[in-house]
Formats: sequence, C-alpha cells, structure tokens
Amino acid sequence: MPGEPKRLEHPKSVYLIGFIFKIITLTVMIAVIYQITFSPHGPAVLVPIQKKIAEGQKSAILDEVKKHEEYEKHRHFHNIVEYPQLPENMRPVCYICHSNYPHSKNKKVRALLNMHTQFFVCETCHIEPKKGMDVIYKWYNPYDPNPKGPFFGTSYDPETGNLIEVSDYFSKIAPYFVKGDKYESAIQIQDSALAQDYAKVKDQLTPEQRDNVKKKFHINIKPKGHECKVCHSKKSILEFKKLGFTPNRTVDIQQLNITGLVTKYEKFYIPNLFK
Amino acid sequence: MSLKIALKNYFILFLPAITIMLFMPATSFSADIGNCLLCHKYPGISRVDEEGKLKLFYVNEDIFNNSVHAKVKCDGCHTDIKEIPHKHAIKVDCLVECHIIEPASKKKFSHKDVQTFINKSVHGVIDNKGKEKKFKEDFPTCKSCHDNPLYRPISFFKRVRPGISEQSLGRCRVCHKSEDFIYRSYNHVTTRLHPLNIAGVCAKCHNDLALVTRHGLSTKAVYSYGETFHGKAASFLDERIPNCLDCHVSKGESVHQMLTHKDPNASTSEQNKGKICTTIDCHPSASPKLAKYGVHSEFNLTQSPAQYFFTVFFIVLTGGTLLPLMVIIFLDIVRRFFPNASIGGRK
Repeated sequence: MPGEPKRLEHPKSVYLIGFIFKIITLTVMIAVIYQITFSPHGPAVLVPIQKKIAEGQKSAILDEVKKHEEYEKHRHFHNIVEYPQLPENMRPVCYICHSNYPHSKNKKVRALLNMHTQFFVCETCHIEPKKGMDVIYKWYNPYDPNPKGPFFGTSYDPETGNLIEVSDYFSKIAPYFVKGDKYESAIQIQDSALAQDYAKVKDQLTPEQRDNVKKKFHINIKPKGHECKVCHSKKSILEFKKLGFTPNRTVDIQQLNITGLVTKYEKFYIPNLFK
Repeated sequence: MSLKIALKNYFILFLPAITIMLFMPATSFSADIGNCLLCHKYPGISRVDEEGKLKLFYVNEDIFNNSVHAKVKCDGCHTDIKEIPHKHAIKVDCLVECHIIEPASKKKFSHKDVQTFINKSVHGVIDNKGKEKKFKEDFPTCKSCHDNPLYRPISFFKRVRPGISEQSLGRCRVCHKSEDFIYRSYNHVTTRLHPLNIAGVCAKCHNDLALVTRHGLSTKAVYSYGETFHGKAASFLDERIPNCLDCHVSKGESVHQMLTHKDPNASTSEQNKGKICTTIDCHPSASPKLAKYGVHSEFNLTQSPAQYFFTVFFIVLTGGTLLPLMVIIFLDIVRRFFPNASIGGRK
C-alpha cells in the first residue's frame, strides 16, 4: 500500500546472494575499466600518461645493468643458481662501496679471490691486527647470534663428492677481537650508528669529506689481504676443526692445489692422459 | 737392483692400479677430466671486467650432470683452454666436434647439420641470392634460443605424465646393459618431447618492436599469438597447445629449417597453410579454411579492423551494461544504510 514502510526484513540468503552478485559485478567492472585504460588489448586511453611518467623515471644505467645481467646468465650457459641475498642494512659496511666481486687488479687470480667472499667476510682476510689483542675466527650469521651449521664448504656429499648443500646461506667466517673472556666482532654492519649516519648524509658531503669518512670504515682494514698460505696450510690461522670442517675437507683446504697452481707455476698444462 | 727385479717391483706396484682402472665403471669418468671444477665449483667465482661487465664462471656440478650436455667434457666445448690458470676463454663454437661419439654413425658428434638447416631457413644470414641480409646481427645464434636444458623426462607408457616410466626402462634393459646409458638415452629422448616455453624463446626477438619494425614484419608475433585461444592456454603451461613450431615448421622437418611464408615449401605458404590446423593431432575434421583466421591479429585498426571493432563493441557492451547496474547497486546500498537520507529535502 502506498505510504506503508517497505519490507526490510529480507531472508539472510538474499543478502548473501546480493553480496556475491555485487562482488562479481565489481570484479567485471574493474576488468572493463582496466581494459579501457591500460590493457594492451584495448584502446589503452591512459597508457600515454603512464609512459610519460615512466619516461621521467627512466635510467639508462639501470636499464643497461639489468639487460647485461640477463645477457650474462644466458652467455654463461651453465644454469645459474640464485642464492638468497642479505638485505642491504644487514650487510657489512664494505658493501656500501664494494660488491661481492671486489677484486679486479690481479687478472690472474681476481675471480679466485672473489670466490672467497662466499665463505668469509672481507675482514677475515683484510683485518689489521690491534696491538696486544688476539683475533679468533668464528662463524658469523646476521640472523643468528650463535649459528650451529652445517655450514657451506665444510664437508663433502659422500655420494657425489661435491660440496654438501646446506640450508644456511648466510653464515660466513668472521674475525673477532678477544677481550678477556669476551669476543668483540671486528666487522661493522650497515645498521651501525656510523654507517646509518653516513648513508643519511653522504649526498650532502663533498668528495673530500666523503673520502675522510670512508677512512673511518677502513680503520681496522689493510689494503692487501693475507697470502694464500696464511689459511691454506697446516699452520692456518683458521682452526678448521673448531669451525666444523670435516677432516678430509680440512686436508683439501690446507693442501689446496689451486694455491700451488697460482704460486708455483706460471702456467700449468692440463695433461692429455685421459683424452 | 737388476732390471728383472725392478720390472717385478713396478708390476707389483702398478698391477692393482691397472686392475682398478680396467674394471672401473664407465660412469666414474666424469665430464670434468681436466679438473676444471677444482676452481669452477665455487659459487662466487666471478669478476667484473674492465668495461664494468659482470662475468660469471660458476658451474654447479649437480645441475650440469642433469643437463643434456652432461657427457661432454669441459674441453669438448672450451677447446682453447690448455693451461691453468687460463686466459679469458674464447666464445664457444657450438659446431665444434666434441668428444661424444654419436651412437648411430659412430662418428664424433657435432651440431654442424643444424647450421645447414639454419642457413636454408628464414633465420639464416644469407639470402637465396647468396647475399648477406641486412641487420645480420639481429639473426639468432645457437644461444639466442638455447640454454643448457635440464633433463625433464616424460613417461608415455599407456598414459602421459611427467617423470620416468619404469615400464619403459624395463624394456630398455632387455637389450641394453649399462644403466647410465639407459638413463641418459631415456632422459635425452623424452626431455626433447617437452615444448617448454617455445613462445617465450621466439618472443625475445619477435616481440621486440624495434626489431620487428627494422625487418618489416607485420606483427609482434608472440604478442598476437598470446591474444588467441591457443596463446592464452599456452600461458597456463598447457603443453598440448600448439606453439610457434607446430605451425611454422613442416611436419617431420628440423625445427631449425623454418621457411618464410613466401617459400612454396613453407608450412605457412598459401598452398600449405590449410593443412596446419587439420593434422591428426589437432583438428582432423576441420575445413582447411580454418587456417585462414587471423592468428596474428593485433588490436590495431590498420592491421585488423574487424577484430578491432568487435573488441571495441564488446568492451562498450560490457561496460554499458555493468556501469548503470553498478550505479543502481550503489544507490541501493546507500538507501539501505541511510534510509532517511535526503538531498535538497527530497528523499
């Protein structure tokens, strides 16, 4: 009857059906709007604006770097395995300027030296000892203050003879200064006060000021790392057993043939015995 | 020490070693005879060169051993490396004779035949008049399309599924005694039956607008394939769906011998086009006219006006129906939540 209140007490199922119908309609509506505005399958009316914005943010360097990374994976041909990487703020301060492949001067061994960055932090090789303070080497994991392993590179798979696969991708051997009963980490990570302050203001510093600050990061660092035999020998500064290396792996590292090839021979000719 | 005693001692010393070598299974000889993995097994063995380009050198042995090149020794491809430490390796020539013996011909294996096919195909850099084609650097080389594929076996015993068919292997073992040979042959053959991401490979060039324009091609071929029913099904990784090779290569020919549609021998030529869709594996009862539909149509008024207007019509129809409906639904919701709301005194 006119003037009477409309029926509002619908059954619950009506609301449910209505809700589902509205969701479907809304979804289709969004799809239609996308089809008209951005989809390559439609008139793409907003694409010119999107392109204009993207053009403003375009970086030739970024494009080239990404393109080259893809190209290199393809060129290399040997199926690259992507390992998880630490977030920027959890990496040592060295990574503000240097990468995982920092060695480039000595053409003969630069790739071999770079390989070591997967096993230990820069300071393990480049540490400047402090007077009257001993240095010991332990596994360091930014996610775990007391990593238990198994660590990569410490043992072989008995079936394949390859280095055993591990789930801990982040532990590396790192130096610690011994202070009485306590150990003080010899590395600085990027969330340290100095590093964070530097990251905040580095764009405001002149090149000279930047150089001065960088020196602060290098206080305990020596430019030339250890010689091979400092680690790859029976008198190694690394206590392989304590670090969890198996006996056969320890022998292989201590008597590593690569070290001999690099230090003893100018060229080592591969024998044709099995060809 | 007399010569006789010396020889006897040598014999005693070397006899066990010779015995072990003679009876050692063939599988014990890995591809890494030159001990290249002494260095290359370590992740991170890489460098940035003088031009600021990253060069990767890591080889994962487990992955390599599961790839189709697992039996090829390192120096089978890297023929220039004779000493350690070695200089920058030269670009691998895929046509080189490697140390594999091809079992049917008993000759050293090489991919040379592939180059013969490529030369005759639309992807060869020399045209049919013997002249070099324009923009020859755009034409694909082996690695433009191929990576080092990993074994991806398929079981096709009574039903098709991913993995190895033990029933099939049982039949192989009747004649072949080497487990390694059986495993590799089975994987080699069945891995090659997978049409994995063919369109993705072709897209690297055929979706590059600059390249498409440079070579006067009529369409971004993989993009327009993606617009079709086949392309959409393929994007859901349905491997029964035809990919580029199914239409552009004549049945039984090498996929490397892809001819231009102007060539009368091409599967896509005017006279052969009708047979593409009607093969026994696709639509055997269909009319040859089925192949005449615009399989590479883009949403483009100049290139395919019919498809363009149909698409616009359906967008307008869907939007025109739903937009008013959404307005009504919205007003209905407002009224339910605010039953006494009014605008300018009107309910």
